[in-house]
Amino acid sequence: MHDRTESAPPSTAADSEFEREPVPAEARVGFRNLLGVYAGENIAGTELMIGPLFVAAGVSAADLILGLLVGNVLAVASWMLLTAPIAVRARLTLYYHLERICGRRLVTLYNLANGLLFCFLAGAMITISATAVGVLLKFPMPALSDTLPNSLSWCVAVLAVGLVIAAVAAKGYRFVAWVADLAAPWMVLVFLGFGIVGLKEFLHSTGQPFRTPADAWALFSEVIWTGGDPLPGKLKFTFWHVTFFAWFCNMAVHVGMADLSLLRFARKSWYSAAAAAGMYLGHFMAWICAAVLYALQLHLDRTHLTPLPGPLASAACGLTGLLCVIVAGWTTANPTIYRAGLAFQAVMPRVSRVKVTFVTGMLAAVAGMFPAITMKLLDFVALYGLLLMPMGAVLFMDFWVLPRLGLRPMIAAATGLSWNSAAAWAWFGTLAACLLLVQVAGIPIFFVGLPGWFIASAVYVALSRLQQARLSPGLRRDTP
Amino acid sequence: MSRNLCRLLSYLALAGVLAAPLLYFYDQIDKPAMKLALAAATLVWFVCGGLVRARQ
Repeated sequence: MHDRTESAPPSTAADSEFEREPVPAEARVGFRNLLGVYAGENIAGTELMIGPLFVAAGVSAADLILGLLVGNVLAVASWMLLTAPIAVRARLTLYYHLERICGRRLVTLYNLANGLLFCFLAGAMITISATAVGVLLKFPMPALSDTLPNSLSWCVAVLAVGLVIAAVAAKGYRFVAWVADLAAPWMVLVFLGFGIVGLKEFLHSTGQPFRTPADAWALFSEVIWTGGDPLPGKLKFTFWHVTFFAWFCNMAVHVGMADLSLLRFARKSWYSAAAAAGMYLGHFMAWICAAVLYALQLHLDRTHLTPLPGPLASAACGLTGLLCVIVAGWTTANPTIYRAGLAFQAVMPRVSRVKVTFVTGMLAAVAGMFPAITMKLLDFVALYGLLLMPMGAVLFMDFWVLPRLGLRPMIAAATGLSWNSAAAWAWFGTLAACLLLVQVAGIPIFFVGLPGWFIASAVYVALSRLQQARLSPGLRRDTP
Repeated sequence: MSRNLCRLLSYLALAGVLAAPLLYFYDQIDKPAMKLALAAATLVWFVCGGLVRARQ
């Protein structure tokens, strides 16, 4: 999972970060800078959970590998075709761009939704780190089907981990960013190590040969990812589920446009291809390696169903594995909490950032006590992207389509609107339509993002036409 | 001089993090030895890599 989130609101942003102005030419960066950012930020604690959950969903080897290859290509294409062309033309943050389209009040609501979602995501990362502490302190940990905390010691451990993370996020964000930067290449190799060790253990327990590609494929398809029924309570995953999940798990940042804030620094639009580094390291290699460890656990004991990153990593790589779980969870929970705090602070600008970030971190810790988020991480990640996606469609249509229809883009900036009802209806209407598709039509949440994007786009364009016909005297007055 | 040495050691440590599981995979070392090698390489990476980055 991507741990980058939307930029700081204007009240807390440094001027040097060009929060309310286009990025000037001298501040733009090259391909290698973006390559480093994407490669480093897409190996997160959550990868240790997502890979195993694919196995729990009964995915087959061909569906998993092909689905991840295709889904990640589509994700990179979304960055390159949707996000980057706008980013390098407007060179504004998502927050400021949306404020100019939607108005201050609607953007504040968007920020609140952003903050809450990031709180829950950080909670999942805290849960994952706590499973590593559980290996060391040997307290009972939640099971795959658990939704509520299952012991006092689990709650205390999660709160303790959350307290440390919240305190560091509030006070020492720069130090964590420094550790994350240092740990990134090491984590990539430890994840690879998980996969290598898992494969070795499979070979050891099955006695299968591993000399030719055919041997390898036989091991993958007949032993590790055999397909078949999913575990109880899990949806069966096919090629399409894997493809759409891989495509849309970062929907908030590409289709949802949060990466405008990063890609506005790119000298050229095609530099967004650097996202492929993150996708194929974090969302291909890391997911597959984590999945191998969980498949091994199931292979050795069919009754041991719960995918707990701490015990899995410890069994494979000992203390280094445990450290990897803690560092992966910690370094990705921190920026998430920090930026969720900034999002909340936009709603309460008079409260200090340190206090808001600390309270946000503790909220995330409370959320982390409930294993439901982590054990249903695939659904949560899909929901997180879906909730923020409609605003990306609004921004896309506002930038490319409205001017071609003779309509005024960035209507809030032109008229002083604080609540753009066309954008609001596009957002809420799309979410309502997607909810209906999931609840009534029974379509899995992984698939509704695609029709949702078209619904949001159509609603926004249609309502903008009506809205601007009504506001046309004001528009003429503001148009230079 | 010491910075260059730290940089070299950090790269060697990173290579060690990759090499230990591979050596285990090809039956050159057993699992406890692999875990020990990984832990040592990790320690060297964070100490030497940290020193190099702290001075940059």
